Amino acid sequence: MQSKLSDIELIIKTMAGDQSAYADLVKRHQRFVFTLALRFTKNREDAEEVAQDCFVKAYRSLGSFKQQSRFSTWLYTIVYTTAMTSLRKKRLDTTSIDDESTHVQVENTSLGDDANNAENQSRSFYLNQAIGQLSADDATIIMLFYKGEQSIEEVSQTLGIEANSVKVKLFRARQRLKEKLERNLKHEVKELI
Amino acid sequence: MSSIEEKLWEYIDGTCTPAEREAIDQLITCDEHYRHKYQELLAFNQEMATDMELDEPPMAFTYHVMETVRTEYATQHPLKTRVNKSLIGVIGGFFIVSIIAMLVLVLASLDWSAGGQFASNSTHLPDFKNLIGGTTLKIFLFFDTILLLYLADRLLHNGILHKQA
Repeated sequence: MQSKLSDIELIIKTMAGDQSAYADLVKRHQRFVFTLALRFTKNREDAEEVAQDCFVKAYRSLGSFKQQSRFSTWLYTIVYTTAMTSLRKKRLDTTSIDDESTHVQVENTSLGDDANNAENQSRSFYLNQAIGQLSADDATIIMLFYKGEQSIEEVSQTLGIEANSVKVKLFRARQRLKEKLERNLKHEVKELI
Repeated sequence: MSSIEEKLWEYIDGTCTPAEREAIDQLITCDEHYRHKYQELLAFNQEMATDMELDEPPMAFTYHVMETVRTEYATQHPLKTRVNKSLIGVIGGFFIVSIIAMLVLVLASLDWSAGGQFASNSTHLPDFKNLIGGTTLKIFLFFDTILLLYLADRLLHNGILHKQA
């Protein structure tokens, strides 16, 4: 059972030495942080590592959280920075061709799964599948806006870019998501026929 | 085409100006194509808000995070917290006051009327034997004992808390 205390109250308790309060904060935000990390890493093991790293970093830096913004905005900034760093490291370790093949592999795997369960799949499945196929930047901006319930200004703060750039990026990300969703649905219709 | 979509998304997000909002309202009411596009985007917006799912991290995720935090806390954090800033301030203050007092004593004991001549013979240093002995020493030792008891109490208290954590 998660605590009903607000994020700020939990932070105050954590700062006073109550580590169980921080565990409650982790439980509250772990799904979003993990999913956001997964959009970058594309595999669960790495996502877990990145997400864990984010919460440890946040704990270390709790003293520097000024409470001028929401805790989630501050936390997502850490997640975005950590995930970007991890992605850059990964890109340095592998060639761009490897990245392409990984991406294709992810797509093919999900498409293969679709064929088996096509009749039972709802539109929401395809939506989540399409989000998984987006680039990390596109998926992040959509997730922050819709699932993180962040305003354009908060997203701009998290990503460290201008609010107008966020609007443009969000618009483009939505267009790409729509295209992917339509393409996946068409593919499924063909499979069924 | 994209311009229409862009405007409609701003309308849906509520980021357009009141004048733009009014104009789009008008277009949605009058223009069939605009209305159709608006309804399509609105449905997609609703879908993204409600149907997007979050992945579940492994069961032991919170436990792993807290274990890492506890390990860090046990190795680093106590060292950071035990360095009490006010204690450093008190020690620093003591030394500054001592230096100032010594300077004042030295300056007060100088014979300024001697001018440029070296007047070492006329310098009167305070009688330290009297200062160290008797009541002063007892006060000093009493203060030290109190300080020692206080520090011992704090150390034991922190040790118990740390064991409980």
